Amino acid sequence: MQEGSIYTALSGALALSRRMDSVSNNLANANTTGYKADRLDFEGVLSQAQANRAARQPDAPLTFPVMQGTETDYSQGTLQETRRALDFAVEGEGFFRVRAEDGGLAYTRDGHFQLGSDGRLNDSEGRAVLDDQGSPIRPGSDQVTLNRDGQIFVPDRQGPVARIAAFRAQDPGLMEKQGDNLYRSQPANMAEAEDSEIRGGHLERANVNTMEEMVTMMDLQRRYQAMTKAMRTIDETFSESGQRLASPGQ
Amino acid sequence: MDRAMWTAASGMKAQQTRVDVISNNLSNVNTTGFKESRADFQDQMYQTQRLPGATSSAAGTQVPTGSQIGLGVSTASVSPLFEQGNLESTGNNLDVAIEGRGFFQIQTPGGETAYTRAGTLEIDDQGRLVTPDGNPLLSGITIPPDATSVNISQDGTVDVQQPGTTGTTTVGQIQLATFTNPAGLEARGSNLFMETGASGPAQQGLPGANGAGTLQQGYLENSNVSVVNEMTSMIAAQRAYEVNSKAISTADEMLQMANNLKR
Repeated sequence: MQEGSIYTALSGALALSRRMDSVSNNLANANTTGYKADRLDFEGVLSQAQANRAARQPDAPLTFPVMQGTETDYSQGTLQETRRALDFAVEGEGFFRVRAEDGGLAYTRDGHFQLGSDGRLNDSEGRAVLDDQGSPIRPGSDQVTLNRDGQIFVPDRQGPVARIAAFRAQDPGLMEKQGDNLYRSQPANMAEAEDSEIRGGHLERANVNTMEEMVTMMDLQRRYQAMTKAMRTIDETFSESGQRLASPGQ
Repeated sequence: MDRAMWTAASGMKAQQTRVDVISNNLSNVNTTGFKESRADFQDQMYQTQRLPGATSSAAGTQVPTGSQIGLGVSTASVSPLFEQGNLESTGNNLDVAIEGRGFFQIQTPGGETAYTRAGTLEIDDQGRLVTPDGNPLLSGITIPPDATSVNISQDGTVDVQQPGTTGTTTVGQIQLATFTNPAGLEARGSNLFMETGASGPAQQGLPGANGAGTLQQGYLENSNVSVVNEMTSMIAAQRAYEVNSKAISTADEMLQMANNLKR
């Protein structure tokens, strides 16, 4: 047994506790509009480390499992009809574009939009929702209707007010969650999502599968228990061998 | 795990807010002109341990995904839904419902203007049209004491019939107010709404113009609460509350294991 082995178990326990944090966040957001669940998969790293050892260097020191990264599950959430014309939902991979407080672009799947007192279409924090050209949309009325092409119409007005478009990331891994249901990404990474459709009168529910999260939670709790058991066993073994070495006659 | 516990606690709090809103909706299911509210949530900030796309080596390789852990949920808004409620015939001459987006304008005792969809009107001792609380309509219509009948037409014109005269006399016209963003109105209780910076200024208009809607005498507008929707949301909220409490107890048990490490 190597002396460092207790740290291997410790890093395993730490990784599990991080995963618990992430599961907890998914569950807290199980009813957040447009929320996308996070996955935190460090097991891949562990098995990869084991594979490396088996294939190349069987005598290499133990590799500690570390959290490699969070991966967001961008799968579609269920669309729920809301009876409210200003509720929009994206069906497909795209995101709505909004103008963030710092003037930059931010992306969201939360289409719970509002009308500002000046008639501008805003998100629930008052940030302007942008059309396909990147300008704010001013329907001037909350009685909006959308067609399949994303064109917005209001009563008593000829022709569309604007066209709202959804944007998708070429590499979703480069999107950063910001809180407030917002995502950030380099503009070069984002392009109009041709196959996404925007629906009025609907909201997208979170794609958190609570059953899956509960099972993950049970599983990681047991693993955590195993890790702490391992730490105790290692500790006991060391203390025992220490005692034996101190008094060899016994 | 500390983080996990607080994160799950924020989830429980959010569901509590949701249930609060639902129970207010349900308790007002028979309130004239009541508009249901809905709580909407958003995720809280993220602790970023590594940014997506960060450089991971001197050779310029990039990490394919970042490492971010969220810190829970917060309430984004609780806003009313101004969808038309069903009109119910009451047979009462002074019950008036608005079919459209307008609001009656009421003068409060404090001299402010309040807005309501509840058209349960009555006549006070001075002959004014008032709400059940005694607040007069802004239009300043006075019904003569000897009037035998009151007729309110779709465009808001109030005509009365008086003994000894043939035909009717017009005593005034009820005006309605509309808002660019009605969801931005502040609910004041007693079926009243107040203008805010978010709703935009009230635009006065006559019934039938600018989408303000027409008046229907002898009808009242029911609340627009859908009991089935509220019950479904309540079940969903309860289940979400449960799983979040499970997350707290799991994190707690894990902490206990960590505590038991040291003999």
